[in-house]
Amino acid sequence: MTLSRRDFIKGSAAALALSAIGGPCFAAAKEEADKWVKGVCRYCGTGCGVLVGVNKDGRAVSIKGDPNNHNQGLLCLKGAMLIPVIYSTDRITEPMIRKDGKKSELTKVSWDVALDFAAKRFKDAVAEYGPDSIAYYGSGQALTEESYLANKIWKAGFRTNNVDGNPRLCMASAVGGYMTTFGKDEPMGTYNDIDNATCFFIIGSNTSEAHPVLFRRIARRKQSSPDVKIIVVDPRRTNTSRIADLHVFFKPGTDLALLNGMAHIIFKEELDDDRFIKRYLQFQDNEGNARSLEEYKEFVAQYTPEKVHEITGIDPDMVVKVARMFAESPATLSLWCMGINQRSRGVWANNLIHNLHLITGQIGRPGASPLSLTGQPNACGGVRDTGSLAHLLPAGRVVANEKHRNEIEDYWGVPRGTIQPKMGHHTVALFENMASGNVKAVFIHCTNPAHTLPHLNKYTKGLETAFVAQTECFHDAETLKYADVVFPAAFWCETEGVYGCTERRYSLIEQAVAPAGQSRPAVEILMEFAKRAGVDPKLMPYKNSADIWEEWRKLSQGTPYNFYGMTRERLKKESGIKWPCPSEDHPGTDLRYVRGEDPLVPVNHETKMFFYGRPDGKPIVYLRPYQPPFEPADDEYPFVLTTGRVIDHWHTATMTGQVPELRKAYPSAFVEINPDDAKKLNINNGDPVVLETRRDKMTFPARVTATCMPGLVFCPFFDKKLLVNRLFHDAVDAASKEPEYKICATKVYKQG
Amino acid sequence: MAILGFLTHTVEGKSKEVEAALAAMPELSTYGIHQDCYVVVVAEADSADLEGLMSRVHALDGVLTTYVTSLNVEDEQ
Repeated sequence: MTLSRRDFIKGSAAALALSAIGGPCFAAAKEEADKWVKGVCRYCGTGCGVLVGVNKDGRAVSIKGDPNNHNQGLLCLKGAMLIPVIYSTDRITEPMIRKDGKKSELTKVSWDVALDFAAKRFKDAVAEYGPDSIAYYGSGQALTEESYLANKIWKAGFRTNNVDGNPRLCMASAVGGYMTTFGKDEPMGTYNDIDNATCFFIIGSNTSEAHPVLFRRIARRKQSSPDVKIIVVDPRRTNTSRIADLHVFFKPGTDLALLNGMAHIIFKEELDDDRFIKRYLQFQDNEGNARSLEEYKEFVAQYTPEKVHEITGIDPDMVVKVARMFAESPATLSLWCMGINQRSRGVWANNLIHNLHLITGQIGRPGASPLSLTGQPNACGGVRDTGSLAHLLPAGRVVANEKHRNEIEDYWGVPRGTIQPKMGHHTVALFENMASGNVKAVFIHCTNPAHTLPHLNKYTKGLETAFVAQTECFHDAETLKYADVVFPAAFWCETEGVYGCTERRYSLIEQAVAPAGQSRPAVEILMEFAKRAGVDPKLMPYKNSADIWEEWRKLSQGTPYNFYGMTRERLKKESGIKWPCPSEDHPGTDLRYVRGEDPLVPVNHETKMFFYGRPDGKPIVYLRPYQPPFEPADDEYPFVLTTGRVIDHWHTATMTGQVPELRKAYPSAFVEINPDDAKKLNINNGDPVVLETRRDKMTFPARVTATCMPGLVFCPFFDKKLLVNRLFHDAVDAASKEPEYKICATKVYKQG
Repeated sequence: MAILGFLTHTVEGKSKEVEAALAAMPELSTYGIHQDCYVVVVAEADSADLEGLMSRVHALDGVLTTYVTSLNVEDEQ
């Protein structure tokens, strides 16, 4: 029998699908590619491994999931459609500047002209107004080497801590939660916990659409073991809730009361782990005062099921059921995302989830863990770990700590006192200071703030006022409207670097194809820019991104983020490694803080777990009261508006919008409204519906669906024609400074 | 024409129905039910039609979700 080329490719496609679930390959489906290059998906924080097929002409022609990475060969549809994004006609391929101010057109210029143009503005600003008049605004999508380099350039080169980025908009509250409870950032568990959990507590996460490949693993776990229970806590009935045993609807923004109420039931019914509590835990109130276990019990006792019902609308019996399911399961895994983080009490919400794991001892065992899901592919590895935020320094250090500053100054070879002790501007404050003229120039890398900031009408003024240098790949990005200079950056597998995903796994993206047009790797752009802007070239002694990785890898040695064992060569061979990984023969770590698992816990440590992030080794259980969201619904603005993703688009759709089939699936944003509410307001599917908040009003086509509970409306945020963030307030979490994108009050009415 | 390999994850007890419905779609070839809940499928369609096709697959009764494992577009470039 002779196979045609198409039959062969079809056979290969079937074999790949089958092998992803551990099935045998078909005889006809042997691999055939001119070259397969290993990488990581460009989209969400799941961090799926991919293999890019390249033809003899050096062009990417196919993509498949990496069977050796955690995704076991699987991808979601948007990940599978990354190749057309590389070759989009919307790619920016030449540098551009606005010669005559913001109102002039972007015109194409040489690299030298663009770099000098930007460098002069930054240099002049520093000379005239000091280093804090400039800033870097980065991204959880930038490669680790890029974020590490930018952090070093700004903090040690320019001597300003005005380094922040879009992880402030998505993961900052999770960082705050881990830091305040455990003393160090990043989760202690991994995706392997999904295969061992017997109860999933999914709160504030539409895993099915935002992390589809992880959802598959959860669904597979559920189907393989009927005893596995799934609790979904979400005011929307999403696809995630289709596999739930319990779906808990609640009034948006009231879940802190539920979490405290669960703690109360756990103690009342003696479902707590008394031995674990006494051995490991301490208690603290909001003022930082030490409290006793008994005081904590008294505190949560206020949150009776009836009281929780009063606040949240959740049936009292449901509160009891959820608490029992959580505590009685042999291994409970909590998963959460933006529904918890993007809140004015996001850090508290994170703390309260950790509280539940700690008081029940649901931690440090396979399947028992609080695992915060990340929104972006490299927010963890690239930004959190490298300390590329306004208050941080690499590997868990903070700018406010002199010892930490000195350690980094010594390592970077700059005089002590170079790094400023005062934290820089966090994201919202940065754009506020740009609008007020305090920050004169900003370098924006790999992100699109004109689309993603809250209260956009207010904060785009900063972009109108300050000088904006931007690296970008696509003309479609909204922020380009404000850019004074645009550097075309190599996209995804056109360059090389490391991504670090939710589960502390670092994976290498290898270069598969040449950069489009004149675009260049961002590390080259950053170094060229910095040298011309007056930064000492000795700070950047790198030939390429591998050299930067080498420096960062060595810096991690001896820290709680130790990944010294992850050499570039090793990352090329392996499909991701989880830190801590202190030596080249170390396999990586699944269970952090556990003796015998975590290499940072001494093998002869006296207890099974050692929470070395805290000086006393004891995580803190917090007495955090319920507090309402910043702007709950009221008589004047009676609905709650929330935002989020849809499965086929990612963030601001600058990438997924390049793929016609994805664009066709969701050509524009819409407003989801419950059928009962729609009936009362005489709204039918497709009708133009006005959302009016205290900031602005906008019209969206209606999608009448039972997905939203009554009183709640949902708009996705991907559509630049309908920038829903114009409607949102700019309240931020007091500790993490993360904006509350998930809740604002709105009027809803049919356009007359 | 693009060639897309994917798994269809079915709701418990629905895998045979789903496989039959998938097999009836002209753009799809099925490669059996595995582990009682996965149908291995290959789609052959114009890239521009893939999203619509996947939406139709998702809309089938008994489909929990789908997972793509490969996409080849070499003859479309």
